[in-house]
Amino acid sequence: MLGNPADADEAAQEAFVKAFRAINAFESRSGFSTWLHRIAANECLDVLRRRAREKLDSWDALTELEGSRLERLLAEPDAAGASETSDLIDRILSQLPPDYRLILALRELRGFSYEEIAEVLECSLDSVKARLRRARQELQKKLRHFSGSKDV
Amino acid sequence: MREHDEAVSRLGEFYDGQLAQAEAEACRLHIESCPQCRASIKEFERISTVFFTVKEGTSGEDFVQKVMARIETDSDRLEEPVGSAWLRLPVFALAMAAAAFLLIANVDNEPFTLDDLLLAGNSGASHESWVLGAQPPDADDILTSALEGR
Repeated sequence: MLGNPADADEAAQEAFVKAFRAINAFESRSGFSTWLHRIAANECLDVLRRRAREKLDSWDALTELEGSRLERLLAEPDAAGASETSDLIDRILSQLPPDYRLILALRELRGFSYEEIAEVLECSLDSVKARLRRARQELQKKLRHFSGSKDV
Repeated sequence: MREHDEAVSRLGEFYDGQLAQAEAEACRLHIESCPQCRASIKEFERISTVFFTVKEGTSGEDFVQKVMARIETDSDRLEEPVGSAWLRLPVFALAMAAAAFLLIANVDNEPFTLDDLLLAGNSGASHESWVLGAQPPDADDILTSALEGR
């Protein structure tokens, strides 16, 4: 979600500490793991919003500097797990609004169902569907130039 | 055209396996005959593979220690109100012990004390430590209990 182990470790620690401090407020309306995921998701959103304010890359600058790496990455998706591409992946994902990145992470990385995502984000099922659709469209739009699927 | 527009609006749900069987089947049939929708699905697959490949998590062995150290540092700064969180677990345990005792108490009808109650629940602790909360549960215990869903 956050793109690097150090930030992820820090956010995970903070999420557990916040959960401990707020344990009296847990009312069992949702499952405990859902409640904990909600705390972790909000922590990640805070980190991503702080980063967005410090925005280091514009999309144009990123594509100018890293266009060929990006093309290779999209042409060879199986190489995406390699550590040398993880910074590029993180910089691309940072171009998305934080809540788009969060909902994609909940679906793609955590494999949550739409109902589970709605519980974590405390929103409706229709809202989840709409946000996921817009998040994917936003990413597709950014990558269209490099992926060769111009007519989609 | 309408069928295509409907399929396009549902491609994400189809890809995520969130459609009901009949709707998923209708979507699948459309995708098979529509190059544009097939290309969209392929893009979803590529996005998943490129951007969301799950890397093996490597939380350090000292992760738990770090969390507990932060909690203890915070606890030193914040004052825990007497009789709040610290009493909840003991009170719950006392209630469970009482329930266990009542199930077996009718056998010989002898008068019982609060210590009898606790011993019947196999707590092995004197009642003063439970009621007065003189031995608050360890922070580890609370976190472990909560994480294990107890």
